[in-house]
Amino acid sequence: MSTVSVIVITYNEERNIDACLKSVQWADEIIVVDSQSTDKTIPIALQYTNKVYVKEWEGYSENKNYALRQVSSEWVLWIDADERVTPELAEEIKQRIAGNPAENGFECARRAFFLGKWIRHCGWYPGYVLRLFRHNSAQFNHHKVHEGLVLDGKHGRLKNDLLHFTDDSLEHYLWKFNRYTSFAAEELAERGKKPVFLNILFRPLHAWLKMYIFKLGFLDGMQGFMLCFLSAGYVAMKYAKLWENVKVNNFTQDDGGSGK
Amino acid sequence: MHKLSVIIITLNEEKNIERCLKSISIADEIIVLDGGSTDNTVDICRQYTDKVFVHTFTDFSSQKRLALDKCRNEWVLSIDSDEVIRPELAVELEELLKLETLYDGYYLARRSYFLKKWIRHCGWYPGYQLRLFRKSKTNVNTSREHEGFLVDGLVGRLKNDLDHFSHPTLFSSLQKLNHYTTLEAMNRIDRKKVHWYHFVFNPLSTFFIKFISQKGFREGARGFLLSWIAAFLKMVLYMKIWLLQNNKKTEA
Repeated sequence: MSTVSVIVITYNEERNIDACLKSVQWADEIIVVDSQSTDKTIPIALQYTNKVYVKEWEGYSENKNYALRQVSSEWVLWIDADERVTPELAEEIKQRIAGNPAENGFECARRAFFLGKWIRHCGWYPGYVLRLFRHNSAQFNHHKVHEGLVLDGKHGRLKNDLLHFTDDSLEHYLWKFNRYTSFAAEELAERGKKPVFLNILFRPLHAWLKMYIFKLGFLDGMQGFMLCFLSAGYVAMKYAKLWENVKVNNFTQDDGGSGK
Repeated sequence: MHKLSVIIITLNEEKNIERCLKSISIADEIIVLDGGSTDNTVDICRQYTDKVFVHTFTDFSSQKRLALDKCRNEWVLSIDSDEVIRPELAVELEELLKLETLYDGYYLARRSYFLKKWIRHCGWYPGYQLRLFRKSKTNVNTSREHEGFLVDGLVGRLKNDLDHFSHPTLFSSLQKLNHYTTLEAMNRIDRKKVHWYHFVFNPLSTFFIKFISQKGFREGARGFLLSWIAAFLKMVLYMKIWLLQNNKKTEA
């Protein structure tokens, strides 16, 4: 028998967690690692599983690897609280692993619901993510913003999309935007990147052209239009914060993070 | 000599409040009206005054109204927790309070600190603020965007600047402006319908006004960043209004 454990790490996700866990109720095991939420995340999660671990926040990769260590199934499906597994995707996952495949992992396309619309271009879609893998064949690596999964062996691809309810309000989007650009700027500074002021001008322009023109963002209507401009702003803000870290706060590579 | 009451409204200002309180030794009475801070703000304030009142924050104008009502003196100075009275300004205030003046209120020029430098362009300076006034001649403006005081009488202005430590980091600026644009968008929901070109041309015009007309270029890199951020937030504001007008979600 092929069994699947779902792992989710959470922090104050009361708005998402119910729909998220409902979409993976078919799994053999659900493991939630919560970083001491102060809202109703934990009680809601307890309605779906008795494996809710509360653990101090140590970083994305540390908390995810901790979740991995609790897994007792052969396969692991990792999803975020703002993601949903459709019944079609669930069926496909069950079928693929039942056949005891040669691959150690599977990736799937991720479709994002951004400010009320499914984004189908902009370089966001398909945006394949590796989310299903054989237990003990993968680890999460260290990266401040976009933690990744390192898999031993080959991986295949699933047909159905994973749904991503990323931002339902622009205020929330910008709140994340602000945090992530700070992380990203710190990382650039730690890597010894020099703040070149022109980056603040030209990199966003490049990002915008890429997303809106080459990746056909113009086909995504008003939301695509907004997303491309906001993403260009993201790039500009990242380099502006790098400039701030280095030129204003004299960040050096060895003081690791006094920047913000 | 006239006695002076200083009013401060606070909400989770433990990082700023001490610097502010230390700078107002000229006050005969300090009134702090806290909106329910969950940090150490109230404890810090109690070291400087025994008139600390807590009233759950609803909006700026009600908080200011309440603080004003608590004042015992006729002359009142209103100051924010991220502001500081420099010694020169304190001396000027002291001299002024010795006089029998015809004025009912005074404006103060305010200089703001951005990424460790004082900004004197980009439309930030002088940014006159009505902060010193006679209690009996003053009312609180209830408009949500431009909360402040309204004096009924003769107003003048002071020579020295008020120091404003509003934007210590880009992170904090963005956080503040994100919140502010949400409030502003809700105010503007019933106004003119927003179209895609507002996302492009209004920010561009904001940038050129700040950077060229208001001489932001004279501040160098900071002037550029400031103008750029103002433009970006203008775009965000119009997007938030668009989302509200098109009912994409109840909140912007």
